[in-house]
Amino acid sequence: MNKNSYASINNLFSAHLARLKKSRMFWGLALLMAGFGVAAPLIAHFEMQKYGVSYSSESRLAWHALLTGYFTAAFTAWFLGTEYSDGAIRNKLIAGHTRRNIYLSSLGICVLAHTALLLLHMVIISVMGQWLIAPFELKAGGIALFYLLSLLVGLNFTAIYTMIVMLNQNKSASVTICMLVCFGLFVAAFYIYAMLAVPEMIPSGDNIVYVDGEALSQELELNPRYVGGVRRIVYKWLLDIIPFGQSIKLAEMKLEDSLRMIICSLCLTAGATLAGLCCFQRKDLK
Amino acid sequence: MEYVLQTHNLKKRYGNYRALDGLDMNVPRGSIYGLIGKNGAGKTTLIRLICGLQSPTEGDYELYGINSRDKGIVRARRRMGAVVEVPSIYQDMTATENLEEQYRILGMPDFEGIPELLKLVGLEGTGKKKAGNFSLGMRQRLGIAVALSGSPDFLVLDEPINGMDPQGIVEIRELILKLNREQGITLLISSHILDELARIATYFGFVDKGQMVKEISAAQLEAACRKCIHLKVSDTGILGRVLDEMGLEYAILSEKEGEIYGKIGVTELTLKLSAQGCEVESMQERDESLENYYINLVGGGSHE
Repeated sequence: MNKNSYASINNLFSAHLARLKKSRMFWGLALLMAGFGVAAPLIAHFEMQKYGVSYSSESRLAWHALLTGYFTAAFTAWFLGTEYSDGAIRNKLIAGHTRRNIYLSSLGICVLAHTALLLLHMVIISVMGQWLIAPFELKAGGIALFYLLSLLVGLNFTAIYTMIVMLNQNKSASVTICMLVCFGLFVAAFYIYAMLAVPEMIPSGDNIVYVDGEALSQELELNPRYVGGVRRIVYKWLLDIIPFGQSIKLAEMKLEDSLRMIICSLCLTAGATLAGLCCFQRKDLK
Repeated sequence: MEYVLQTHNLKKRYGNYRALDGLDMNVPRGSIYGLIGKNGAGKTTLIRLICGLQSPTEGDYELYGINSRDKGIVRARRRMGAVVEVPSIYQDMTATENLEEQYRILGMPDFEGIPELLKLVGLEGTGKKKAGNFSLGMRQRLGIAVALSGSPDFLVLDEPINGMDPQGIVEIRELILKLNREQGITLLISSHILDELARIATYFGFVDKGQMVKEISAAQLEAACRKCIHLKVSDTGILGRVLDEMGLEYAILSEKEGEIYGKIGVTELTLKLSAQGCEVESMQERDESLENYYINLVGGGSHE
């Protein structure tokens, strides 16, 4: 990237930033995320006091995992959609900015907004959780990894939604498509997760004994619904490639495949951004 | 002659539809260039291409001598401003905030010029009113102010007075003339309100079916459009005899009305008619309008 390109992205980003500071949508989401951040440890504390159950701070920290996809979809579609609906994207092109710089600055501001919202939420839970629930069981490295993976999932979602919005000149359609894509990814991830959760062996049909509603048997047989072999490997990768798949794993604090999750996140972000950039370069704008 | 914009065999296709079909155009520096054409003639497509919103299917154009295929075209575009179709402004921002946003996009070091710009377009008193609550004329003027933010020397306005009330039209007309005369800005204006264009444009380009039918200067157009004097008299028979004697070209329209082509001495004619007992009831100078010229040129049909 040369000096002119850097200056161009800097100007575009600074314009986006000024708009972000005035964005009611952003501050509304910030309030919402902060509210969830306060509510999570408070509710846990209340339940611990009243019912004697025990929670870990980590479990509350994972609350955001299933929210991320939706608030990122709403914010990205609304914020970048306005560039088209109000025609401001034309001013940027006429002002001599390249399409690549316009795209990258748009992605950048959404990543920044998403990171700020997520950090606000997670930091509140982290601090309040220590005080109201219990100190973290994970070591500092584990918590840092959880933060990193959470931010990468957000980056993934943002890259996908930025691609959709930048290639769609209708703001309402962008909002709808982003929400539908988000829901589609959610369903796909849960389906794959459910398939992977099917046990390999199940109690044999003849000698099943039920204890407290749980099926027990001396004899086990191979579960015909079990996903094994190459299909299982593919499903595991798919679960990590789909952002919601990673969200589910984060919600369950399953960090054992963290390297694969990081690789998948970075690859998906790069793929979506390259595809978006490629199509945006050729797109006829009105 | 120095040109700000030149297009060469510019073509743009959307599927099988040819929006531009080999358009050649030359916009002289310092002119107000009126782009005239029917709906779907290719005016807005042409503007979208030169603004970089779309790429030509074939052909190219030069902006300040820089070819559209050259990478430098992006920088050349910094010298132009444009309002394409509707003004590009954030509805939830005030006029000042919109201009501040454009200043940031352009990388201007400060916001010093904003009050002057607002005054230039007559929006200095809008305060905290959001652009979404502006009238159409105010939005159009704000759009022009945004386009003027980088002090461009070429301004492209696509249908700038579309849907505006008479007061708004006058304001925009005065602003355009001011920008051209006082700041030396070259303007390319597409409009279907021909009377308005006829008042301000110094050059005209007539576009039809994606092609440039004719480019003509205002002076050439004036010469091409025949001026005439429309008269209402008590006896057109006497009028005819007198005009024959004077060697003037004319046409008798009815028993009491006639038209004289070319320049006449009004006093001389009136005295001669009076001497023969013919009374002059009214006399009006009439031009063949830009509209008539346009219809003759493109073969009539429906147009805006």
